[in-house]
Amino acid sequence: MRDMADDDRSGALLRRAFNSEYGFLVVVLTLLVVGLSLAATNFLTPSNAVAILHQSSLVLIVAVGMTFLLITAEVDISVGANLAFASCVVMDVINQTNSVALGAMAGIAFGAGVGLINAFVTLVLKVNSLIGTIAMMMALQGGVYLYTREAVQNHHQIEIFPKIATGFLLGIPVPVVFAAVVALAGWFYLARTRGGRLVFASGANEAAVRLSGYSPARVKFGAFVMTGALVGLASVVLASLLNAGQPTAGTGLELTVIAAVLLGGTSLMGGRGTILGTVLAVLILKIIDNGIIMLRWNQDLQIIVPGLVLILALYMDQKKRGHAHG
Amino acid sequence: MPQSANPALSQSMLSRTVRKVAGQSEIALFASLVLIVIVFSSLSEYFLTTRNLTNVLGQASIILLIATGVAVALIGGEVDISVGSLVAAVALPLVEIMNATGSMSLGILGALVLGLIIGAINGYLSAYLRINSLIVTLGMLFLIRGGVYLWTNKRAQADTAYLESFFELGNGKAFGVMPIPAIIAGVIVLFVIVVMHKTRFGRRIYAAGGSAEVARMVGYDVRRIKFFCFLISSTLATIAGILLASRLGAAVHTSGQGYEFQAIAAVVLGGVSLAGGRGNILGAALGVLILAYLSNGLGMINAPTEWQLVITGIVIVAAVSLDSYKKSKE
Amino acid sequence: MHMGEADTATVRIADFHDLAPALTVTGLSKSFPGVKALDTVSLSVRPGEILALLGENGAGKSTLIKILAGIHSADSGQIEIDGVPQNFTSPADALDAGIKVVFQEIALIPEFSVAENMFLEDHLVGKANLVNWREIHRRAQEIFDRAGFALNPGAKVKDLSVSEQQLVEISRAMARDAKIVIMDEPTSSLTPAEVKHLFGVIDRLRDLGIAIVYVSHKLEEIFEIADTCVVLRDGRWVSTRPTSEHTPASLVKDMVGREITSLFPHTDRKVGREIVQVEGLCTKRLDGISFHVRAGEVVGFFGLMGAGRTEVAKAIVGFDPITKGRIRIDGEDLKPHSTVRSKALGIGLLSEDRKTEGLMLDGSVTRNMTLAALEQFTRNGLMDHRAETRQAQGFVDRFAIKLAKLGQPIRNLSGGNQQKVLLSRWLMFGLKAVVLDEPTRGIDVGAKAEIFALIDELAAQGLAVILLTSEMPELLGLSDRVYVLSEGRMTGEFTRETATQEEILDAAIR
Repeated sequence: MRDMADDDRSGALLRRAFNSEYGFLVVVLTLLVVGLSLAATNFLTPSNAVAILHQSSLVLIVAVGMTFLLITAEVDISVGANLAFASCVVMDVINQTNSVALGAMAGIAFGAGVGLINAFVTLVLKVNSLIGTIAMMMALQGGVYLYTREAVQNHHQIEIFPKIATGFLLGIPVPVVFAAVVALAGWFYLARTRGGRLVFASGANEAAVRLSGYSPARVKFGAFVMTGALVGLASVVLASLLNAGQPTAGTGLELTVIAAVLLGGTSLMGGRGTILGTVLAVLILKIIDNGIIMLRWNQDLQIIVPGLVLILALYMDQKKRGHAHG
Repeated sequence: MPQSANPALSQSMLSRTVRKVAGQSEIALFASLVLIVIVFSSLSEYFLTTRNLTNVLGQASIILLIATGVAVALIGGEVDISVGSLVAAVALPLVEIMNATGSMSLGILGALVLGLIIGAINGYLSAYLRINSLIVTLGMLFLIRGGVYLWTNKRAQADTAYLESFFELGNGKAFGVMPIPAIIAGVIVLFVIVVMHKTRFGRRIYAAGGSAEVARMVGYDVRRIKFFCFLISSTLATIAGILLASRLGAAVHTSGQGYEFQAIAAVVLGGVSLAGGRGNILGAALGVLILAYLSNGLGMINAPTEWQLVITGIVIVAAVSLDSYKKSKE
Repeated sequence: MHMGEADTATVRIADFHDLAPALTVTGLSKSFPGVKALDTVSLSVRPGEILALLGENGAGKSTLIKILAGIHSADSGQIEIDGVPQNFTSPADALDAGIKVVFQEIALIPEFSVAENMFLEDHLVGKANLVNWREIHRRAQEIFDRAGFALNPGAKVKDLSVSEQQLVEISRAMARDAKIVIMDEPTSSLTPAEVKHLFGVIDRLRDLGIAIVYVSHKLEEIFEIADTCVVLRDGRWVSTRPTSEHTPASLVKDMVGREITSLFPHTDRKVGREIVQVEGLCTKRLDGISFHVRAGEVVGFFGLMGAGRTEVAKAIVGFDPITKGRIRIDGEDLKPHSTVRSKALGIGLLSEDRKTEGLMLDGSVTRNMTLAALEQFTRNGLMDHRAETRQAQGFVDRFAIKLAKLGQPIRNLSGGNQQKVLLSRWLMFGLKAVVLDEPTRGIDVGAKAEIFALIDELAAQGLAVILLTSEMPELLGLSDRVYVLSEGRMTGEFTRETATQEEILDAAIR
């Protein structure tokens, strides 16, 4: 586990980066950027960089939550279905109230509600979170059609609404601002606060945390609800992006997010993980996606490459560690 | 308590066999299945017809095969979530070879070969290189699906050979009643049950999954055992893919999505432990049937399909939490 | 359990001294990175002889056993069985050669039946190479009948008691015609009755001409059962002598290399007010436990396996639920019944199972140490890493905890040092009462002495100390008062003056 308290603070940032668990990710990222800039003329342009960041935002917002969850040794497979449902709720509420703010709050509340139920099923009913959230995923996939027969169209035509996905704040795309704020808050919480310390500890040894007078259940509860709420936030962006609440959206999101979090160095066993790793991993995956388009390769490669990268990255990580991953 | 010295005296052969293969939980599962059948028979007049009951078996045979493979992997202490993508992938050599040569056997051979190759890759990475199998098969899930999209340009490959035998495979009915896929799945699942319970190899899978350290000490080649678990799971998924292609009349590039999760949920419902070394194939099969008939029954009473998914989710949660609760009382 | 008196065919090996050794180990050496675990160790065991292998933790006993079991391979030296040199490349080789090791961690498959476990190496098959379950059960029953064990072939191993599981392991040895049976700390989880059974079983094995190596640190048992004592220290052979030529003191001297005077410091302490008051405590497995502990006291809890010591410990700190009873810490009720509340009231538990309930194995020493005292290092919700490090270093110095650096993962520390870190965890927080569950389990004599001194110091500082232990010397040496538990009930209460080993054991088996 990264223990920043004990690293030599005056040591060079570079040296630490190389020896640290991110070293590998940074190297891959650098190689990708360099390689692609040479191979494709349009790659290293500001507009392309913005596009990459734009595409990364949605995944990153959810991935920050998933990072917390995986560190506590739990998981949430329902995020994709949650995203779709929540985006329908967002659009529907805005349609009916003509208020973007209310719609956004409704979406976030819905997402958090799903997280709350996931927490209940896992912590109170004691169902393994993998199974429990799979079941939730099924329920949401069915439930969204009970809520709306087809996509929820934009009937309100509020001007500011599309700007959520396409607008800029101080020159930075709005979704990127959201993602950056979420990532920064997540990093700060994990690295610097007592609550963050308990997140790591709860995943490392639940009984030890309980004996030490804290409640790992409370920590896990928070992680579930937070992940759900972040999905809700992402759904606002998605609804704006698609200009509709799409019940079929988000398929496969859970796998992409988990792949990114694992690639970023978070362990399946719990107790280890970093937001920075997740950020780098999301960027790597999205740059690969982008590179495939820039190089005019077959777009279906976009699905293959993350799989390959994930296996390779974890293989090398496990060799470094010297013992099997979990 | 001392075992009766002469078992033949005390019980009939049948009950002894049943007791050996089925335990308390399988009986409970079977009872739940019967309960579902009773409930829906009373709610809908179409439910308890031979036609309906056998149709469900036909449809469920695909998931049944996949779930059996997933169960074997789980019992062996590993997990295989690449099966959904594999189902789509193996249909490609099947259909294309059939279209090109007019031979179903060659097509099936091609599908099996591809399935074995994928299973071998999964097995090698997980069992020999010791990369966590969840990650390996997660990555393969992406890889294979992407490969399918690439190869097919995101278009379904229709079966142009129109072989009668191929059509019968997925859509035919023996004696006009029992769907062929159900028979195929039933025979195969029975075979796997025998292997897991009555062969050394099957018992060693349990040992490797539940107590790998002890298994190693006793001389089992744990890595080889786990490797074979992946071959089994991908072969079963291949057969499922062949049957599915027959029913669809095409190799559909999006087929199989979500099957891996359905399979896991069903086998866990059926008592297979995520930790490995526990559970059996009969329970897993019952889990699949319970969910299949539940879904079907809900459809029969005209519950919108969406409700089926919701209720399925609730049932899974209820069953698993009840099981957890029981275990905590032990 | 019947001793097989009906079996008349065995020849009792009364005198093994003239027999050729069944097992000879010559000049065995083994090194691991950074440590020489065995240094030219030699010993031999004859058929029908019971040889005790003694030594502290780290003396090399377990390395030697693992080499004999075929798990490790020696760097140099020779193993001979019946005079024939052996070369083990796997545990299967050792078994084939006739060596059976019964480890502390039972090497059986818990989910399998007893009968299936008997034939793990080679399931019996019948027609078509299918497993013949009937034959497996029959043969297993046969073996049990011959050995006189009352075991149910159909029962799942995980449902058996530890002593029954040991019997299954021993049966496996007998089924495979083992010539040498090595037992590693076999009685650590047994009741006195079960220990008696086991000794009877060992006698039977001896009668069958099996050579037995018995590893234990319980000197009373050694003197009761062993013919010869071999002592190792720091990986080297120290002595081989008939048990009759030893006294407990001479054995300890061989093991430790110096005279052990008093392991148990006992300062005169002023006893204060009642800190822990428990009345009528009932849980699923406890029935009406009442006791009290005052500041400055060390109160020992004794009981055999399953008596309920750990249940009491986990109940009074709010970790496990209770059905009835009143628990007060320094006068305040433990309500709500949780560890959060108990910590606030000033009582904490050091669990007996370090790995699963104490240590964050991949975490650093610092983080492990500060886990219970996070509030002390929090300012405005933010953690002060520097203050953490400073405090941690303080405890490392105070307790002489051996480590490379504070940031290293705690899994690399020795058991004794890990325990010191866990103890520091609570001391850093500052408790009024501490519950120590088997605090010296798995720790060698040297480190034990340090922990005993620590416990004494804690009491001297005014803490109420509850000590749960199954080691009689520890109990008698440290406690001011002793409570005895048996099958969930409190069956005895003694003071330091009135406590004797016999009376305590008597209460423990009531």
